[in-house]
Amino acid sequence: MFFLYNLERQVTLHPSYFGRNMHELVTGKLLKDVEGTCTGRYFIITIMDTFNISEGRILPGSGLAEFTVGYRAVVWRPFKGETVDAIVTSVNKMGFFADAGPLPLFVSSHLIPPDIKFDPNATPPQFTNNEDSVIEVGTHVRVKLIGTRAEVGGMYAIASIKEDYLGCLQGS
Amino acid sequence: MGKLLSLGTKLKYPITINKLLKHPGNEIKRKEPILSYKFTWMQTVGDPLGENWEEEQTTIADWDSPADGTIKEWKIKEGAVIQSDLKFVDIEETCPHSVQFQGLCGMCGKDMTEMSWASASDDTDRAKINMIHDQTALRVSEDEASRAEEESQRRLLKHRKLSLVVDLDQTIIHACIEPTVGDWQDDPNSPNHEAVKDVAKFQLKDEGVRGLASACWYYIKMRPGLKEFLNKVAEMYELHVYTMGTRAYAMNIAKIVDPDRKLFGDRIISRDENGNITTKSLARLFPVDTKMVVIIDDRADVWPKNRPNLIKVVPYDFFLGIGDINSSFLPKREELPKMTQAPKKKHTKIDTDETDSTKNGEDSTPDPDASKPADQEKAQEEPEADGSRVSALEELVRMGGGDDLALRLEQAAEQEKFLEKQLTERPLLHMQEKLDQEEDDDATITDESRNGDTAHEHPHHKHNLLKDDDVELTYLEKHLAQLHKAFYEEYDRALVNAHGGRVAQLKPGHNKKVSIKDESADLRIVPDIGNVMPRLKAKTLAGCTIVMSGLVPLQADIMRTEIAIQAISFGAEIQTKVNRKVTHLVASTSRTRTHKVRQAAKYEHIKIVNQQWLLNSISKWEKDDETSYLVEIHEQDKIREEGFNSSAPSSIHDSDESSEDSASDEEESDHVPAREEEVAEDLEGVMPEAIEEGHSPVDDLKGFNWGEIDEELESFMGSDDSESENDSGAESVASDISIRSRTSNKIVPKKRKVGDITDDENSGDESTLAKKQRIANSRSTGLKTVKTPNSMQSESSLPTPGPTGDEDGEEDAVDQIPTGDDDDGDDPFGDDLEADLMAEFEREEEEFKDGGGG
Repeated sequence: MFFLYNLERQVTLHPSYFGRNMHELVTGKLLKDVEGTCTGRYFIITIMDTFNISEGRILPGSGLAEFTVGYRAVVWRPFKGETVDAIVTSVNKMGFFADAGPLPLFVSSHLIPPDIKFDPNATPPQFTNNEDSVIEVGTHVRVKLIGTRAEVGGMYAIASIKEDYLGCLQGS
Repeated sequence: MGKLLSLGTKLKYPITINKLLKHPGNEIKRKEPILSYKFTWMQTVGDPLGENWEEEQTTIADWDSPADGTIKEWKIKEGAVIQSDLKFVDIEETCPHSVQFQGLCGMCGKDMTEMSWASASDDTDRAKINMIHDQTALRVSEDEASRAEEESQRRLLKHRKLSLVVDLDQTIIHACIEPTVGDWQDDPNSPNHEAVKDVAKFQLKDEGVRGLASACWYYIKMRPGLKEFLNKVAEMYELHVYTMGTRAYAMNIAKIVDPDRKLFGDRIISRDENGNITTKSLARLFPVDTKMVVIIDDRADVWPKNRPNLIKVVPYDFFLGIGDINSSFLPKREELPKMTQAPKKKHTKIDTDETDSTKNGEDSTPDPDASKPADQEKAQEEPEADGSRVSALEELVRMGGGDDLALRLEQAAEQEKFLEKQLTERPLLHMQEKLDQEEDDDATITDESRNGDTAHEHPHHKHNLLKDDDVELTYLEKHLAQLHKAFYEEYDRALVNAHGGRVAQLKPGHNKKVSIKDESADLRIVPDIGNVMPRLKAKTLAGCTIVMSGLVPLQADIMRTEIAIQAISFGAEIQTKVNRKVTHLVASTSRTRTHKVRQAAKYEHIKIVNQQWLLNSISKWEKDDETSYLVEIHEQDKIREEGFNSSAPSSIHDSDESSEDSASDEEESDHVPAREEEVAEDLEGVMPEAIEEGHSPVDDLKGFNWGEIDEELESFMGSDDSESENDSGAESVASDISIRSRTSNKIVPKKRKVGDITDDENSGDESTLAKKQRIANSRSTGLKTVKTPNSMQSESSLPTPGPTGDEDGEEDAVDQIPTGDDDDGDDPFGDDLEADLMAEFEREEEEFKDGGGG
């Protein structure tokens, strides 16, 4: 689910940048550092705006200036039970992998409806029910997250398409 | 799927079961108490006065479930007293967690890394097998793996296919990043243009490789006939790619080799997913059983566990001297030297070059490639490169169990170094230049000798460095077809038998059952490629007994060398010494006058062939006709042999007639056929020679002329350096037999020394104890003359014929010294050094004895 979230962060600036447009530089550095990262609980998708850039404090020893910046960001936190759209990246006999934006997820063959079977002889290999559903690399699928796990630099999820209205997205 | 829970070892036994909190059929949750028990223990209690005493306490505790599920059956009753750990309840788990992705259960989505007080074991341990080609994060349990594999086996059987694991580098393609190839491709005048014009290329935007090698072009030469080969083979096999290159590299190659992705599909595994940097393993892809898998690879040593399934392919070496760009971190290839295909005129030049390169190779491992003139540059670079490579390898091996990422970085760095070297040094260009140079030299010489006129008529090179004449794939295709046929013939036979058997059994009753049972029976009767292929291969050289000469370094244990393992897998028997049973002597083309060749020349039935015979036979899977591979025996050797034979009795001085096996055995066995049978019985060659010949080592000792030894010792003690120098001088006159037989008595000490050393190397398989004994014997000190019962015993207690060893060594020495320069190669490296050290050691020993005795 997406949230608008108020956050705060310390940004340091090298002395050679001290000058008139310091605040722009600070904002720029913040964008570069923060956007697209995963904190372990959510992904910071984009920064809406910054406010309240504090006065710079020179750090003793290094000469860098430290600013405390408050900013508002769009974050995405995948929840268990959430339904997301994803693009299939790899298909094998155990199931298929897909990316929902920054979140890699795996749909095991146990969580695929029994009529959709793995066909290793097709090129490329695919899951198919020999009718309208064909899941191969590049297919857009709608999945429901069954479980998520966070590590320092990223998150992973297990998803299912074994429910109504899940699976292959037609006409996309 | 029931799971038995056990109480665990941490409880304070004995315990009494107080109450079962749940009943069969009840659902239980993780961390929920399912059982309460009580136990007694001693508590130390104290009062404020400082007195301590122990009191018995009874505690009631709960036992919490480590898993979710329903209880199926209790194995214990309330009130029972339990003395030790046991399995006490059968539960039906909600989820077996048999597919896991990044620590998440792929079936229920639970976090497997979560640990609590209740968990009995790490749940991630339940799914450890990694069997997906392009992912390392997905792991499955054993049950799941075998289920998946069974499924795919059924599918293959239905389509009458097998699995074929294909290596890329030097097996079906040859890659290099030498920019010269690009130049040649663009230049239609280049002599190599014809050969390289269909070379494919791609640029790798790989994060792993930085620096100079980052944006280089990879040039990919497909092995001739590859397209047809793959298309044909794909009808019989399901193809997998298994390469030591990076994933990006593998994908690019697959795009070139198989643009429609019909052959390989997604079944590509690279070193990024392999998990081990020095070996490949079928278990990575086929964790449960490898019955239906065949491998083709140019290196056998990277498949330590799957040799029976391996067809070793002759490496495809199109870009000469480049080797395998993706194996810079692998141990060096151990390969037989190829035949020298040099222009005849340059023999002398090559010979000198060869000795050069062998000398260069001395400080590192002996380099069999050195005899390839085209590889000289490579060979000369190798000593330095080798050191760094080996140490890096060790480093990597040490890191083996550690962090995957660090390992991969290390690998990448290693390869980067290798690639940069190739980019900067341009070995191909140098080689062509050298070839041109020689060409020009030749041309000028011939031209000048003809009319003294100029030699400007060579704007184009006549010779091209790169030749496109590889035919390995046609053989390979044949073998694979043959193998496929053999496998399914056996399968069909087994199927008919199984059906027949069961039908016969059940005939009166239900015929329906048969077809139901078939499903599971089918897989059990599937023959194993690991048996079928060795059986096919073993027919090739069956009945051949092979001795190799000049092909493996003397220090190496011949049975462990690649070529010997190969030959054995093709049904040949390898022997270390020449004797009657031997049918073929495989000699190196560059050294045709070794001791073994001479020995073998004595037997008419031994075919002396060059290594190409063996290589071709192995490659074709059929015994090649030997006639075109026969090695020319040096005239002198033949004559010498005759002379040697006739004078053999005279040249034998000590009592060691037994060991002059080759000569005397032949003569004798003609008259005594029974003896030969005896010999033949000992097929393994386990028995020492003397025993094989019908002598016991003790017999030798009985007849041993101790007086002669004394004489010998005396002459040795008296002899100083100058005398032995004289002797060796006399010896270098060499082929004169009379001199040898005359001097042989005198120069015994010196010969002994040299003999010992060569002999040591010859018999690498002899026990160290035996070796020591032999050295002790040959020391010719006064100690030996003392015939105490003790010494007798110690000599005879071991079945190693001491004197035999001596004599053998002596024979070697006699042979080697006269023909010094020819035979240099036979005892390649470190020999001089070792001889020196040995001599020094013995001298000291001698002095010590001298001092002690006198």
